[in-house]
Amino acid sequence: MGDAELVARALAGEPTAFESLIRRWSPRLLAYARAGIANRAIADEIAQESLLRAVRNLPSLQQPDRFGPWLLSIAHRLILDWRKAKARGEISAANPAETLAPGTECSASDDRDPGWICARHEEHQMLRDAIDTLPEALRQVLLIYYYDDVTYDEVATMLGVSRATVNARLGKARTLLKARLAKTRSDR
Amino acid sequence: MNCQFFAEHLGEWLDNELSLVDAQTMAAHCEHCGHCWAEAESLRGLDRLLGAELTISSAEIDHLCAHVLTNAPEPRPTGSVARAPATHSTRWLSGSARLGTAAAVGFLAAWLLIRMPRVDELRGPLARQPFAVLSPIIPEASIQATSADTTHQVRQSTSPFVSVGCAVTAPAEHPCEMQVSGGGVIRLDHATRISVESPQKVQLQRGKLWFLGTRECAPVTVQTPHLSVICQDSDCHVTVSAGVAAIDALRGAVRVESATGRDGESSPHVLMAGQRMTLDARQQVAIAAVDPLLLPSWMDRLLALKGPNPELHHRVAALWQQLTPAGQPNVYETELRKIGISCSGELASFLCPQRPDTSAPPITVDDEKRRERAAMILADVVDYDSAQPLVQLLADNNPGVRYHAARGLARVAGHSFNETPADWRAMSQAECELVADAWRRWLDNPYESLPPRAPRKKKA
Repeated sequence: MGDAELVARALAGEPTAFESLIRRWSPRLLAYARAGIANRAIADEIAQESLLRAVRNLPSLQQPDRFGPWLLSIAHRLILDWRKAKARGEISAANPAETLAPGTECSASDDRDPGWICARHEEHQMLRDAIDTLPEALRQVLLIYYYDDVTYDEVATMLGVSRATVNARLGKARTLLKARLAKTRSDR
Repeated sequence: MNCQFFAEHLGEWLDNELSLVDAQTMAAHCEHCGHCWAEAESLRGLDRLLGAELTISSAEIDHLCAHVLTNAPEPRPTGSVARAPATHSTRWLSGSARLGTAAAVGFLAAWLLIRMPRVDELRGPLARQPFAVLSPIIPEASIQATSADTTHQVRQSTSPFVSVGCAVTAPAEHPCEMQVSGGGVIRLDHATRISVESPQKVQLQRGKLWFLGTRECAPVTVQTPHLSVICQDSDCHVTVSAGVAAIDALRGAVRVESATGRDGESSPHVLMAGQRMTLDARQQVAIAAVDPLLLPSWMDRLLALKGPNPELHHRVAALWQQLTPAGQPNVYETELRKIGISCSGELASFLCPQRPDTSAPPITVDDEKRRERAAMILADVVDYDSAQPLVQLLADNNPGVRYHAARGLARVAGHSFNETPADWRAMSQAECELVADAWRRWLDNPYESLPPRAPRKKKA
């Protein structure tokens, strides 16, 4: 069922249609938000706010088959607003501690070797720190590519760049990550 | 294949973004080069790490959905206009601003009532005699028509008529075509400007104009600064640039009258097809030969948008005839490439005719060269929907034609059934048929035949 039909059904009051729309576009929306903002908690909040605004303004959507790009444009504006607010000092520069994604916490009740669990957690933290230090353009391509599990062409379309640019940025990001991870490991 | 090429394309290879041929080449190099193998393994490790870390789990999606569904208002039924609650960012109309807006609207309404033209004046352009009708080739095409008292846009969706007494400017983005009321077709290049003086006379002020006449149509006069061109059952191409005019006769005879000499007496000329007349700064007339095939390239987009039509067929056929080594095939090849995918049907029909003409003379070496060049163009312009003729050409007697057919199919499909285009030059007829059969099955149902994309990462 296409987006246009789901939007029509959602406007007609069918609750499952709206949930289907959310589930269909949540992965890409989360990927886009996390690619735009380094702090995952804030990125997830922006994703939530984007969906809420989409719900409120759904009757005004002129092209129902373009629900996805419309939703991403809402997220894009929210990301820009957040950045402007941060630049003006309206948002605290000290980022709150990131919440781990569900399923990755160090749980005491986990049957796996605690040493292994913490080592994995440390490795993930190292990787996240390295990703956060990447230049904005490289980080954005990397996160969208992996979070959304898309092709080079789809990333190019989302970001409005060429496929060659996506390839170059992804390669550069990986090269930088390898170097930084190697340095971090050698420093420890 | 060398290590530098491998390093440059390593990411694409691991991400399954390369064609099958290139991927196989990369794999073969990796098997024999320890350094590149190590690089690939290192990148695979990082890819696994990133894939495991940068993943959105179903739990996260459930959490997001639950939050939105809990906090979102119910969508309004279709048909009612749901107004979003006003936020502080939309409460911009203060009380005084509202009063000011109302006053401005009232003033505007009063101004319109006073200044509004009378009903009969509104019919001005429409009451005048129509000259031509805008052809429905480009739906969004819009011609600006200016008369003594008004300027309006001529559009398919509203009023596609161009009237006598108007000055017409073609769009800046693309050429346009008009059907003349008295018969014939006028095409205007980008931003060309003409003035319609009577139902059978226009003045070309700047740009390029192409008139296609028929035997039944009334004669049309195209006026330039110093030349008058009279066309009836003929095709003429008139250009005015910086006050200098050039007239090309492309089909039939075109009569041209120019004012020469001190007393201004006009001396008529008759241009035959393939002749060009120009008037230089000293008002001297010069006549030279011109290639009719190379002039209409600015109209190719219009012809292509019309879809299959006799005019496009004749143009492609004429260009196809010029693809021989004896002439200037590169020039005509360029014209065919400008037409693009719209020429693919015609080229395919020339390359693999449905009913071979048994009375035709034997194919010469030049014919084979022409076929090879046409196959090369076809391979570069087709898309998936128009690639069927390439499969037929895989079994062609000409190795060069087979090579280009295979190249075109590899480009469209992204794979080549393990046969590189170069292999097709040396394959036997039986081998050609075997792989051609695989291609036919793929074109019928591409999603079954292609190997599935390997999973990039495992979900956490």
